[in-house]
Amino acid sequence: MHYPIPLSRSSPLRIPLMASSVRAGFPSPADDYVQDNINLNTLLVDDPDCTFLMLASNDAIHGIFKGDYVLIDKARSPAHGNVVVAAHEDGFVLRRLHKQQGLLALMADAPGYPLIPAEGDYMLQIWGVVIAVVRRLV
Amino acid sequence: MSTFALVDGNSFYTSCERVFRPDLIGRPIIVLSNNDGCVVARSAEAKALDIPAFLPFHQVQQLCRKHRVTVFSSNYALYGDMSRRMMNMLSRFAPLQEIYSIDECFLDVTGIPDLDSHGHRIRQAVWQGLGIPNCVGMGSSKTLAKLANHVAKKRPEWKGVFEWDWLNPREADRLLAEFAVGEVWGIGRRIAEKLALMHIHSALDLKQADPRHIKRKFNVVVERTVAELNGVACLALEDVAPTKQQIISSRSFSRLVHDLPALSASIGHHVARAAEKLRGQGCVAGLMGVSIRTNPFRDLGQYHGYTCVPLIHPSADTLLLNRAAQAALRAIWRKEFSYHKAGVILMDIGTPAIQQHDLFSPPPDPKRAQLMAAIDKLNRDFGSGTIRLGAEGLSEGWRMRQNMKSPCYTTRIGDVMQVE
Repeated sequence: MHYPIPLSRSSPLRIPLMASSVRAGFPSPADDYVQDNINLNTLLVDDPDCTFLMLASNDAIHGIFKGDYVLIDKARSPAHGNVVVAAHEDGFVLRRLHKQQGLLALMADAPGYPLIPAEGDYMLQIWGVVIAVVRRLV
Repeated sequence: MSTFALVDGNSFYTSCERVFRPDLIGRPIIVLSNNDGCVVARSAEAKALDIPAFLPFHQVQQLCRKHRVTVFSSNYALYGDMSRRMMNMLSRFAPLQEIYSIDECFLDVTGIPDLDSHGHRIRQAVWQGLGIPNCVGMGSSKTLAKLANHVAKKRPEWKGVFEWDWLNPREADRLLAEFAVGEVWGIGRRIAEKLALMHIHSALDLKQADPRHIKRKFNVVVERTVAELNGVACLALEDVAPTKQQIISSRSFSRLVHDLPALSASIGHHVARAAEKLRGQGCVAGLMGVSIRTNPFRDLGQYHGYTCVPLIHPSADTLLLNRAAQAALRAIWRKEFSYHKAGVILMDIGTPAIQQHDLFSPPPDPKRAQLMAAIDKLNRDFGSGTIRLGAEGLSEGWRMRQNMKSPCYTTRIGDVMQVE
């Protein structure tokens, strides 16, 4: 069965979620009962009130490319290995948080980015934890 | 007994700016009114530099330059969105919420155990989730919650959360004595002056005043304040926000305006804004005031022109209201003056159901209501100002000047922050 996916500028994108799995051959009569709509917000966002969008402008982290939008949850406590947005110098940086064996630092996955340690006067100011990436392919 | 909490964001506008400008942490910031006319918000650091609020910006510009104060035009898209987020978060902490202003709300926290940790949880959630510092004041009436919020804000030993019941009655009274009566919620300057003549100077004096005497001298509202200071809640959370009894739209110009066409464009703009608000609350207005005035801070001829026009049919129709406003403007305009501010005020506001029609003039055209609804929808969907009155003019000098506005980081996709 083919369902058109309604697209609208003003309302959230909803893709019908089917009650039964897709099978070849005879469609199940239960397929006529749409259970719910997929809302990409619920897929990507835990708490919309504390979620912010930023634009990645480098390739420091594997899997996040320049031009991607990153979704940042400000309420989440940052853990070792999380990709985070942190205040650094006059702006924000996108790095992986290293928080192990007494070392607290921001690191890039890609080479060529200096490590940003938390030491001396410099306290790491973690702004939020990156929970998702949005990228259009076409 | 009820317990109310008042939660508010500290220096809300400047805090919103700072969320996206970590380089400004610990640095003085001010935010200017629409049109960059006046200082409307100051960060704690700017207050510490004695930069006064509500003065025209040009009078503090020197001081700002000297102390390297960062100056922002007001960015209501940003403040509004951050406020919406904050209010949504706060609503999770109590069964009832009354949003009181863009940066503060009352919560009914009656019966919630361990208010101390609850208050700190609220504060921490808003701080961590939004980056907005905030304070929580609690008490058995809204008036006491408001005062408790002042205590939370001004006394660091409470770490941003304060409830009156944490003090014994003697300690509480000693603290109340430290507040000038004018700092009590609802006690304006004029009432405070009158109270001073009765030797009532502090919040404690008012608390201990004879309520009957107060009612005789003032009114039932001030009498209620006395009861509220005594911990008797007279004001419940409003279930529904009351409809506004008057709607004002006015603004100072960025430079003095002499000619009638520029004033007329500005009045047209204000009518459009006020009428949109009026329709937003589903009401009509029966009376409109138009005001133009010169700059009282300038050593030039002073004039304040003001007049009221009654409307035959109470209306929310922009075109109709504008026609009345323009007539009023022509009546009060004097060509020898340079104008600094113009505005309109809608009054006698009611619902269309209870309005009375004039027997001798034709009733309003229902098609006009549809036209207004269409204009509002277009402006909502495509941005305010998409459709506007020709009378508003398109490039006049009165239009909003916002030279130092920050990006709409949270509401416009092209404005989101870049991360390196």
